[in-house]
Amino acid sequence: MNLALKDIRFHKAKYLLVELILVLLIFMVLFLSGLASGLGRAVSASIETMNAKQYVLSGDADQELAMSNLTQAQYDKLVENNSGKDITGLTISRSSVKRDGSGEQLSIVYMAVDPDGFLSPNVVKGSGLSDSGKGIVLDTSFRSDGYAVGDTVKDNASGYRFKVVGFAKDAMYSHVAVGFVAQKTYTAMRRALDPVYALSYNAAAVKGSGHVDVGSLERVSKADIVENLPGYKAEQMTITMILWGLEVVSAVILGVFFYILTLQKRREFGLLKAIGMRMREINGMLVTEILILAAGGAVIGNALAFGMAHFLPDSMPFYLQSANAGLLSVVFIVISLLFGAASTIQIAKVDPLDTIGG
Amino acid sequence: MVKQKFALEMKGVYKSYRDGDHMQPVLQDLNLTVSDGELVAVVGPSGLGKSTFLTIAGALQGADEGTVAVNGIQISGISQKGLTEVRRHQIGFIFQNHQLLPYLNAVDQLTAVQKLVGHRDEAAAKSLLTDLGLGDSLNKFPDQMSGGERQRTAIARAFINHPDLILADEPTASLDGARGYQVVEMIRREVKRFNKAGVIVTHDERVLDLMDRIFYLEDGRLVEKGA
Ligand SMILES: Nc1ncnc2c1ncn2[C@@H]1O[C@H](COP(=O)(O)OP(=O)(O)O)[C@@H](O)[C@H]1O
Ligand SMILES: [Mg+2]
Repeated sequence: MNLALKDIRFHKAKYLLVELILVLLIFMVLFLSGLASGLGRAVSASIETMNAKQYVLSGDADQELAMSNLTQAQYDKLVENNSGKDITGLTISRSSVKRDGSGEQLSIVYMAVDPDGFLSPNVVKGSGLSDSGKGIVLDTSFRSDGYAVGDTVKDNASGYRFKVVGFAKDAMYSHVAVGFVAQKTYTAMRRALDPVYALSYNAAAVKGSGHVDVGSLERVSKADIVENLPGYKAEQMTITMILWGLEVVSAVILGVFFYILTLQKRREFGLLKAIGMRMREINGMLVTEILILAAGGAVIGNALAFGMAHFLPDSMPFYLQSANAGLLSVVFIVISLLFGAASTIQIAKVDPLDTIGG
Repeated sequence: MVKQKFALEMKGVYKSYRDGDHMQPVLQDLNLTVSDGELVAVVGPSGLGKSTFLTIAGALQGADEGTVAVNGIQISGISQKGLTEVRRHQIGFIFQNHQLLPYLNAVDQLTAVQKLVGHRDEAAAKSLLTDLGLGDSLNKFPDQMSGGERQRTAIARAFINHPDLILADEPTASLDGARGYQVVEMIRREVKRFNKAGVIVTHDERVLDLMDRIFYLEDGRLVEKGA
């Protein structure tokens, strides 16, 4: 322990460079992990935060929310067949909106819900939805575009005007910010274009996880719903592959680094052997040194990544989860230790005679 | 009859190195016994096998044949692990090129070795270094020391645990006459004061008057001067 620290302290410049590389490697991995989660959330956050364990979709929808359609009659029958279960309808459609008095048109995904049901959004600012009035609860990202409670926003397709009553966090769906509206309000908006419009649903959300009598409809778990959101699987697979590719490349770089570090110390190891230090003690010194470097790198890398997350703009899809960061850091340290352990093979091969000379 | 225990006892030691396609003998039937409190020199020109002899005595390598005992412990034929323990507890070796760890200052060079056999005793380390004239260099790292300072630090490291057998490979080689003589005097003082055994390999005739016995390495064996 002591020798390891003294070695590091003496060769400050060398170990600082090594540490710099370690920090950069782990930072890179964490950054990518944050992007992966961030992008994933931009697609799925609204579903993830919804209080439903499962959904009922039409049978031909391939578990895809957007492809599913339940008529009012189908929905009513489902509720009737499952009396006592907490079920509520969800309608999703894309459009764009413009705030009165601002020029910019923004994409939006409407989620029409029952204001008294369990899908009614939790607002962080303003008030919740109600059946009366023309209220809309917007994702918080609208705030950075200047939207505020009390503003009037116009739906571009129908010309219908909503009143912003509140904001909700993490309301993203397929990279688009969500606006929650009451089913009544939604129907009124649709009727502005199509007077005979009757409300239908993309899905019925079920609060509990137990059995649901669905008839010809299909019961889909929340996880499967998320998986089948357009773009989700492909994006996550790509980024996860890059992430682990990077982790492997990092591991190889680490391995080469520690191999060279150990090679450079052959003479010293020979001398330590010559003065009677046991293999176990020398190995312990090497592993301690690598542990200090790797753990130090992980701590600094995490501090950098989490610190940077603070300064990134809200619009950047970056979401670093402590659990992921912890896992990646531990894998990083474990890989370092494995390479450290592998390097001890070199120590075993050192002959004290070679290094002390005759 | 009680068998006498020698600090170093080598009997019928043979050692040869591979040289191309044949084996080049270096030591042939080498015998030597050194008792506690005795300082002996092994003298001979370069390349004849002095270092080979000393590293076998110092448990750094094995002999091809013969027996070697340090402080009564048989070390011929024992494992690398066993040799390490003998080096750790019985022997203080002053290497030819006074090898020091680059990242330790003079005091730490000694305390690192103290910790191998017991506890770190910085006061003892400092007092020994001061004794050897390094009082002003206690915190110097090897790259800040002169050749002589490095040599004396290496000597202090060999002394610090007061091992029963002190071995020195050409300790005067990198020093001028007066300094070289001083260094051997230091070794003699340690040997006499603590009743230890010392073996010095050298081709420096000027220090021989400090020796209790002198051996010449000839044809792979040791021949005692005046015997
Ligand atoms: N590891 C080795 N492998 C092969 N030959 C060696 C080895 N070590 C020493 N020798 C040879 O053995 C002879 C004696 O070497 P050494 O003991 O170092 O002599 P000295 O210390 O007296 O100069 C030399 O000819 C040297 O080249
Ligand atoms: Mg030699």
